[in-house]
Amino acid sequence: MTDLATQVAGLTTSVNALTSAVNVAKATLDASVSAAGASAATAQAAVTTAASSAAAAQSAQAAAVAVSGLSSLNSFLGQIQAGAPAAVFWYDTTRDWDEGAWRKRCTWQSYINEPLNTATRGARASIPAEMLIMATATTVTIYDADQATPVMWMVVPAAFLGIVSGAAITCVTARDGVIYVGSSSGADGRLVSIDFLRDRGVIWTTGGQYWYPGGIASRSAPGTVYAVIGTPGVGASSAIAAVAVTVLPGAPLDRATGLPKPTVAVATVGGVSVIHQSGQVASITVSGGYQSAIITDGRLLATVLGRTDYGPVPYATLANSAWRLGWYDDSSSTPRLLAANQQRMATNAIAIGGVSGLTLMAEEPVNPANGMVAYVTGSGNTANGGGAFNSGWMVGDCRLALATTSTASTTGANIASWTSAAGTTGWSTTDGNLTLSISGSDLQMTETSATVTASKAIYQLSGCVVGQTYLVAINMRRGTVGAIMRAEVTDNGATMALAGGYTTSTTASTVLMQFRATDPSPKVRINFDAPYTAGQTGLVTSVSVDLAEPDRSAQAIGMRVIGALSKSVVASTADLSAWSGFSASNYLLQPYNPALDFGAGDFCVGGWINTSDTGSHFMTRVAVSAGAYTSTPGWRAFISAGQVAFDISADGFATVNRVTSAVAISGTGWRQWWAVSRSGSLELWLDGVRVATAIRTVGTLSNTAAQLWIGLTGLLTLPAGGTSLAQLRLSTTAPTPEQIARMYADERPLFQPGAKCVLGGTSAAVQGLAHDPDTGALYAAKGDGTSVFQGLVRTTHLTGLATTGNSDNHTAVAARQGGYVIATANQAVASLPSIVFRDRILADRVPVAPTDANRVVFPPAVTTDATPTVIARLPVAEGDELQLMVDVEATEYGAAPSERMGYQRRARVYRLPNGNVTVAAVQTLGTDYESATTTGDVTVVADTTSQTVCIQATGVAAKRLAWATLVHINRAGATRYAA
Amino acid sequence: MIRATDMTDAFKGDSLVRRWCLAQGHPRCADHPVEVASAPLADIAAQLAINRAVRAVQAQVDAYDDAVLLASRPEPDATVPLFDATGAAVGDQPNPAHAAWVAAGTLVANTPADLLHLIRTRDDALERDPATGLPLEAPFELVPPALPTFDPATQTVDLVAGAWSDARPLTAEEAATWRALMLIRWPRVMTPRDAIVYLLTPAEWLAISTSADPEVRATRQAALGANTIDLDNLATAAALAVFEQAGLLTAERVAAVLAGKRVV
Repeated sequence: MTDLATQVAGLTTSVNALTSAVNVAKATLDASVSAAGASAATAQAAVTTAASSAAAAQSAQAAAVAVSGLSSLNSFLGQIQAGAPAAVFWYDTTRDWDEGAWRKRCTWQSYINEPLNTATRGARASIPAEMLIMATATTVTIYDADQATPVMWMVVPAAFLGIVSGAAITCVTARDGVIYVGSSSGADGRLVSIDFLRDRGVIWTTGGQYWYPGGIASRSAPGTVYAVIGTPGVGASSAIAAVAVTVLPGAPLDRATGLPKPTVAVATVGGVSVIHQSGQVASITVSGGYQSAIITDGRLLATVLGRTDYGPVPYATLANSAWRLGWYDDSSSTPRLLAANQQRMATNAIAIGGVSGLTLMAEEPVNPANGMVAYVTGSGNTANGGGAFNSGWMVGDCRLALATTSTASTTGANIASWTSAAGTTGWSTTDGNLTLSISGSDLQMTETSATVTASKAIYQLSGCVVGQTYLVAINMRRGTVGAIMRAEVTDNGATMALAGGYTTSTTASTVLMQFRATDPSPKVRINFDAPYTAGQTGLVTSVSVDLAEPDRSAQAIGMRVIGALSKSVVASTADLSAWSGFSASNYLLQPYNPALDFGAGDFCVGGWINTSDTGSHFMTRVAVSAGAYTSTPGWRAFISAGQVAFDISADGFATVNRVTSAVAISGTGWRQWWAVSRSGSLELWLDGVRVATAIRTVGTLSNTAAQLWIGLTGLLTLPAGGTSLAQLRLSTTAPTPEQIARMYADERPLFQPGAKCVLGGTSAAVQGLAHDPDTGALYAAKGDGTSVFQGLVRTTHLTGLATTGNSDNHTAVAARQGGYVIATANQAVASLPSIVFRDRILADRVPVAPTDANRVVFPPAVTTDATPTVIARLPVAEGDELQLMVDVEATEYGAAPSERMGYQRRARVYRLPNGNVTVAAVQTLGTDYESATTTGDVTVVADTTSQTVCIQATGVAAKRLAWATLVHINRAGATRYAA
Repeated sequence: MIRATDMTDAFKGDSLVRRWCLAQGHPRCADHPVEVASAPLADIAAQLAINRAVRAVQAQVDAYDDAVLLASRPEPDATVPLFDATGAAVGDQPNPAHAAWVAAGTLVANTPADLLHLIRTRDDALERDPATGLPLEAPFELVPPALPTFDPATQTVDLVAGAWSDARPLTAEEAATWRALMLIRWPRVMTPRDAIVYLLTPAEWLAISTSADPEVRATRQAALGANTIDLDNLATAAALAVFEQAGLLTAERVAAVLAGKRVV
């Protein structure tokens, strides 16, 4: 009983406790329900508010649509046309001379009044301000990009484009109301202009100019063209590769359109033809033709495979060699382009692209040899040491550039180290006409019989790692051979030359070559040049092959890796890497390299450094003998008391000229430093600021026994153990202060976390280039997407742009207002920022128009001697009566100019109907200012070949002068005769 | 590109004479110009002769370039229809365009070797080792030999086959050029003060200014009272004749003064 009572009592207690708990829970639940109800009410209110806001937004958008006529203000990204376009162009009429106001004058034209909503005409009658122009092989389609979603505005069929059987469109551009379409088929292409203001189509061939009888509305059945008598053709060939249009300073206004007459550059298989505003055509002929051509800053730049020629805008037909003032290529120019077939050029000469990647350009117009280039590649690159890298800006004649994106540590490896002690082991010959023997401490190569082809000595390598870079050093000299003694590295099958060098010396000389292994067993091959006569000899003293960090400059002589070095990114998830881990046994070494003999002239050494050292040496070039510096020239860069210092010396650092930063950089992160020798002074720059100068009393720095060490001294002491180095560069050109400032400004972003600086994807081959003048972005279209750069930084890599049938094989690109249109292998895709965003860009950009036709500023011109040189040129139409007030100033190029000139002239110029341009009088205004030499001059002369009036300057012998010209033009317009 | 017709001699108001040469096959003025006012007359005349020689070479280059361009075009029809006064075709006549095309081809085919060498130099097309890029032939250079002595005011020389010819008289055009330069060097109109300083020796002026001869005094005072002295004015010659008759100037000095030659 007791147990039962106890159990009942316990049960009762439990029931009571449960009841109490349930009651508490119920209260809690009730409270929760109540709270939920309140929340629901709140949420309902929020929903109501949101709906109200959406309605308001919708209403606002509708109002905006009503006001603007636009269907939407949203952004757009996606396919706009299926099929692979041959060319694309974003025609932004706000960049026209009158900012697109000409569109409002197009009211009577046939295409404005033709039926809308047809297969060849969209729903909008008026001309869009923004047009995306797609060209397939035979058809041009113009999309209205004023709408958030581009829609077809007009289709121009093959019949109107002069596309004959087998021909295909290759290029398209537009300006000031005219679209230019180029096509090619062997030598049977055409240039067609579609003039919206004149409502006319014009065809250019080699034979001349032809007009369609009807307006643009009759483009589907345009009828038979008729020839315009007396008009010249587009030069040597009408097989057109590219077309560009510009308006030169002082171009006369076309009275029919109110717009300036354009100048059109047409690249063809015969060269480049320039169609002047007067109708005159001047061609530059070149074997093989040009792939692209642009006119910018008063120059014509034309690109042929592997080379870009530049010269004045031509007014007479010439061979390219007689016309060009210079060129950029990958073998002989200064500065040089990235290796291998650079051929795509951005519209304003800021970049040239090719199969190896991009060459970004920062030209120095007054002295092109002092310009800067930066190489940007992708992981698929095989040139300049291969792989993905961003060299940073290399000024002028760059002799060494170290840059990497690898994060794998590198360990030195000696692949070969042959001396005569090893006998002829490892050597063979290509045939029996060459014998090899040991003669003293040399391998003697002896030609045994006369031949017609070179017999070669072969040294077989093994153990190379595919994709790695190696430095070959061959000590060799001519014996009795009268010609050049040559060395090369080939792949194992000898099907491909990987590197080459030669010597003409009869005393021991070292030939250095850098190669990137394509198989584990390449060959070193040595031979004589023709004539291959019996008995001639050559001598090889040593051959060494070592793993190297590649030189990215055009010199292509890298640095041996001694020991092991670490490579790590300069900031988290950044692309750029730096070398570190220097010690007495871990460093980089380059044997004597004559390219680093700077003599007594200008040079610069610099790069990026991040150090915690307070005393260490990180670059040294000097000669060492018996464990000590010899009393010969050298230079070194080091950290002293945490500051950067740079020495040059004529006596092995017994005495030095020194510059020291006076600012401790140790422990302060990445810093850019440059040591510059300029016109007898030594300068040290830190982060774009000159922090120290000294007078240079040391003469030549050339030293045929010097080697270059990175990471320590030449005595293998004072290693930079706490130092990381990136983007090291050496050049025989002293960068200007402006260039140093730009180097710092452009390269600094590469050291920020997440900074990308190489081509996206894997391919390095650039297939198309475009520059967005509104945002400054550079677009590089490739087979695996499009990389977008701002300065040296890649901001994005565009892939997967179409939702169906996407192709990342991007073949061409155009960009404006933060958006782009890209031609892929399957479609045309576009990205249009929201119209609000685009409007903001238009509001913020530098004004582009209109230019003042009566006050013309010309691009800078250059003279290098006393040859009379045309520094500015104005077209003169028939009936023109002009009075010119010419204001010219000249300054000597360089750090310490002594020549300064100022000239003012008044010229009276006229051209009678059917007559030639005539300069009636030239008067000197005031007194010429000439600070030093008094034999300069400026005058005004007539060029009756081009019917232009020229401002002609005479400079000073042996001095480079930059000329700036301003011309005030007073036109007696009322008497103008010309149409 | 500079053509022969662009290669003027004098500039800056004829006060300077350009020094034309060929540099890498291109006509250039690599050196400072010759100062007309101060350079020896022989130097000025020599530079004019050198300029003429360079210009002649460049004219050959221009002709070659023009011929190459013309010859590279499709061959025009050899004949064109001939019409009579009524507009009826009466046959064919030679086509001038075809004749020009043929002439251009002939000129190109017969271009002398040294001119082709010059063209290769200019076009950066000298024969080179394909591997090293080193030139296998030297660039063309035009280095005239030292000039012979000749009277700069009346004579000049021509560069023929690399050697200077014998002196020959100036052509009318060359003489006009020389006169224009000499007008800059020796102006014909000047102030009386400049005439005294530049054209007379101190001894001559002392003699004239202290002469008691009434005719000399009158002439002297008339000259000093004039605003300008014009050497081409007959009155100037008459005044000098007065000084000559008074034994104050020799006949040679009178001629020199009338020529505008300045005393050293």
